Amino acid sequence: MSLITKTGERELIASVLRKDRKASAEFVERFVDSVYAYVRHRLLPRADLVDDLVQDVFLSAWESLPSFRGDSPVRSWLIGIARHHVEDYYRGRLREPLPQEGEAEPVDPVQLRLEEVLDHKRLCSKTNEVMGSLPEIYSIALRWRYWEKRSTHEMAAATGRTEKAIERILARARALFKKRWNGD
Amino acid sequence: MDDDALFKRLAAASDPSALPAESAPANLKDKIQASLLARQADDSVFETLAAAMSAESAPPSLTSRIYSALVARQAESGPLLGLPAVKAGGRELCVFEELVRIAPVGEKKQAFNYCHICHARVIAERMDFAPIYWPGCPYAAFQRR
Repeated sequence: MSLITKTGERELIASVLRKDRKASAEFVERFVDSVYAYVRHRLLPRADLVDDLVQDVFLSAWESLPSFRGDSPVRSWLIGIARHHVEDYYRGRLREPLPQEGEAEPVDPVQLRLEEVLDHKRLCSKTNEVMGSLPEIYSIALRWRYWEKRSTHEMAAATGRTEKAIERILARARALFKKRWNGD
Repeated sequence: MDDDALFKRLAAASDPSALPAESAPANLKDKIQASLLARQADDSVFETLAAAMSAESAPPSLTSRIYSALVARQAESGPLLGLPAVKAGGRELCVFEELVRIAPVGEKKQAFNYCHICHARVIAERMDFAPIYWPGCPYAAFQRR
C-alpha cells in the first residue's frame, strides 16, 4: 500500500507546513525517487555520498518550504535544490589539483563507438562503468558540462579556474573517456 | 604544420591590426572547420549519453531515514500536528498512534513523534525488505512501494 493519495501538490505542501507527519511521509515518498535518481547519476562513482546528499536536499527543502510559491511543480523545485547541492560538491572537487599529467594525456583521436552498445541498459551501465574508472575530477567535469549542461564559462566562474583550464580538463576527460570506452 | 604554427597563423589571420591582411590558406580553414566539427561531434555524443541515463528508485531504507530526519527536524522547531488533527485530515494512523489518539492524554502527548521510539523505524532504516506490515505505518509503506 502506498501512502500516495490524490492530494494536490498545493494541499500537500500546506499539510507538510502544518507538520502533519503523514503528509510529510507522502511528500518524501512522492518525490524521493526523482531526487535520488538525479543525485545518483550526478555523483557516480561516489555512491557513498548519494544518501547523505539526498537527505540534505529534503532537509533544505523543509527549511525553504515556507517560501515555495508554487510557480513550478514541486519535483522541479526539489531538483533545483538538488542541483545546488551537487554543484557545491562539483565546485569543491574541481578546485582541487588535477591528476598527474601522464594519467590522462590526450591520445590519438579516437571515435566513441556508441552504436556498438545497442540496448539502453547496457549504455547506462557502460557509461557509469567508464565514468567510475576515470579520475573523479574528470568524471565531474564531464557530468557538469554534459549532464548539467553548464557552459565552460559558468564552470570557470564557479571554480575560479580560467575557461581555458576548464576546456583543457574537458579535453583530457573526453579523451580518457573515449579511450576507456573503447577498451584501450 | 604543428599546432603551435597553426595557431600562430590563426592569430595572425584573425588580428585586424596585423600586417596586410592575407586570407587564411584553404588547408588552415579546413583544419579549423574539422576541429570544430570534431568538437561538435564530441559534444553531441556526450549529450546523447547524458540524455540516455535511466531513472532508479530510492532504496526503502534511505526513504525511511529521510522521513525520520525530516520529521525530527520538524519537531525541533515546535510540536508536530496532533494525532486527532492528522486523523481529521483524512490520513490513516498506525495502531499505536490510534491508541494514543483515543487515550485521555494532553496535546503534548498527541503531538509526540511516536515513530521515533518505534521498532518499525529502527528496522526500516536498516533493511530494504523489513518485515513490517501493519497499516498506517509510513515505514511499512516505504517497503512496499
